[in-house]
Amino acid sequence: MKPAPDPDLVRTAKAGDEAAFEQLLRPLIDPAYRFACVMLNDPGAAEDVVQEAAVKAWRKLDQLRDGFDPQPWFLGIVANQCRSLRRTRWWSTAKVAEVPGGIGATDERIARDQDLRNAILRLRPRDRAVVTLHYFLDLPLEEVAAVTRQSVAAVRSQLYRALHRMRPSLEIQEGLR
Amino acid sequence: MIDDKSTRSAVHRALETLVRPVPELPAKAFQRVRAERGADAMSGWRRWSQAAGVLAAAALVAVVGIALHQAASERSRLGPAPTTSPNFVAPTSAAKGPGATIAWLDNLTGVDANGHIVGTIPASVALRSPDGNTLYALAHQKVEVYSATTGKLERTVSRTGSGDTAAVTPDGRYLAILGGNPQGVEVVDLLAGRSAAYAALTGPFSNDLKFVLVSADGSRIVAVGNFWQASAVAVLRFDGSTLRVERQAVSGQPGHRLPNCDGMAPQNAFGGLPERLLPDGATLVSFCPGDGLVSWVDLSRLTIAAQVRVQEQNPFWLSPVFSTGSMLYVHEPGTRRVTSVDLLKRTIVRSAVVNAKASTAMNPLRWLADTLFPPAIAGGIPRSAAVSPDGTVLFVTAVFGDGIGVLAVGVRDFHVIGQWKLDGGGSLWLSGDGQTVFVTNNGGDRLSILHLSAGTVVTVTPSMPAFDFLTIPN
Repeated sequence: MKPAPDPDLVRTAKAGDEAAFEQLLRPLIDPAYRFACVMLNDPGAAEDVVQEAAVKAWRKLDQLRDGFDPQPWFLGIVANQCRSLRRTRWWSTAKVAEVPGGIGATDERIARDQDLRNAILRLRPRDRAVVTLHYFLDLPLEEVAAVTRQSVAAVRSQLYRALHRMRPSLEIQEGLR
Repeated sequence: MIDDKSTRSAVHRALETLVRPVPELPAKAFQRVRAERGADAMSGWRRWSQAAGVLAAAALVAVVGIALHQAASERSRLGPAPTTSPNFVAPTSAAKGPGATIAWLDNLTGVDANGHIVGTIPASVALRSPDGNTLYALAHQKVEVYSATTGKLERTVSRTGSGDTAAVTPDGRYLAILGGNPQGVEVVDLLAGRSAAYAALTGPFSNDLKFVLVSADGSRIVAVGNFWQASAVAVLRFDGSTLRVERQAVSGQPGHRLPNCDGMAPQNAFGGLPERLLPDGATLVSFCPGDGLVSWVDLSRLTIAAQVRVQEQNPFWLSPVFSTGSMLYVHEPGTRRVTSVDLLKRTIVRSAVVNAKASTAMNPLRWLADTLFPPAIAGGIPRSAAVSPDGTVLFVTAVFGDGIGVLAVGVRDFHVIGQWKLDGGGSLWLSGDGQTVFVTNNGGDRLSILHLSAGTVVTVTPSMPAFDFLTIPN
């Protein structure tokens, strides 16, 4: 269970305290970066996106309501930033993952991980987002709904559809267990 | 049944390699925030300009909102019956098989001309055979072969590699598969049910945007990798039992300049990428919606031999279609411009705006809404055009005065010879017999099926959102 955000910290940060803002945002940077890496399949671009999102978070801090968890709020900003970047750079949905282990690696597990990774990267961005948030960042459905601004039921159905598309790769993984 | 815990564990393992640890990222981010904060403090006037910008943006949004509302109202006024073109005779073809009349959506659901779902394939991606009767799905160490008519699994064929991009030979016997680790091209004999040949490749062929093409006689295979940056091209020769690399090059190497496309491709791109080999097997043609460039690559020298640029206003609108002959048609739904390119003469033949015949009561602000919110999926392009089997008629999605629909256009003079209003205007697919047009809507939740001869329309709601179709290679 994640600890509840300190309401005083949020209030202090909103009052303009630089240290409080950094304390608030610091634990959110890594999950945001991991999220952006999957959404963009480009670690360099993900770094840029997270930095830009941090600036936007600072500018929009007064929109963060007292008592609200800042993580879904910040991940929502990152998601929007990824979307903007995809639009401006004609990002490809067909771009697939880099191969781990370098040329010559033949491990079956690596190949199967790659199949699953490619299946996830081929999902539509909004489907990829819910899969990443729930299964990679381990966010509960309620937080995924908050990030993607939809109902929990909609997230559940979106996850179901995405898993259906990924099913062959997942079943292969299952068979390996 | 897939359980949540194992899914989570598999996803973690699969995605972890995409993340490059950056311990200094928080420091970099906060440094950036401090820099912005300092700049803002020094430039108080910027806040005023920002406020003005926000006001201007709000005004713009309001204007566009009105335009979108108008557009939505127009759509809601559409009646169930389309405007028919009673004299229109659709060119037909018997060259394809019965499975070619079934539309396969990008959610891998098959729908027949009456709107009945014939089946759903449990795969993440698939491609169609040239006769339209069969679907191939790449799975681990096997290729699954499905009937396009029923959606039933017919058989599995073993393969040794783990490539994930494929093309079928025109006779439907072999499947060329690119990618994998180690990377290479594998040829699978679909008739014999086994892997027939393999050739390793060096260079950027496994990652990023890639595709594989097969010549008309099946003897030449061309692999293209890293198409969104510095492209790599390999030319391979296949004689039925052995596969060997004849030559390969990466763009930028001395003497080699190759086209690229900054990653822009239709979603679910099997069979739909805007590239093809000319009938002689010696020339590769590519089209890039990002810059409108048509490029001819001399495969003996592996460099660009010629280029022409198609006029474009918004790259997200450009929907390229190769005809069964040696023609390329580019349709830009937002401007209604159609351009034809003769691939043998390497010239633009005709470029003109094609409108519905009775284009009245056009919303004057629609162009603004379309410009700011083009009807496309980011990173993808709606497939908004198709050519009749005999190559004489182009079907395109179109904006009418009070709705959207489909136009039939003669390819020689671009005259409109048929028009129908539909409840949709996303991607378009023409059945293999040339008699039925399937059109998705932009939300992916509606499929309109137009019977060209009768002028009737069936509308269905897919069980899962669908935005595009699996095309039949020609």
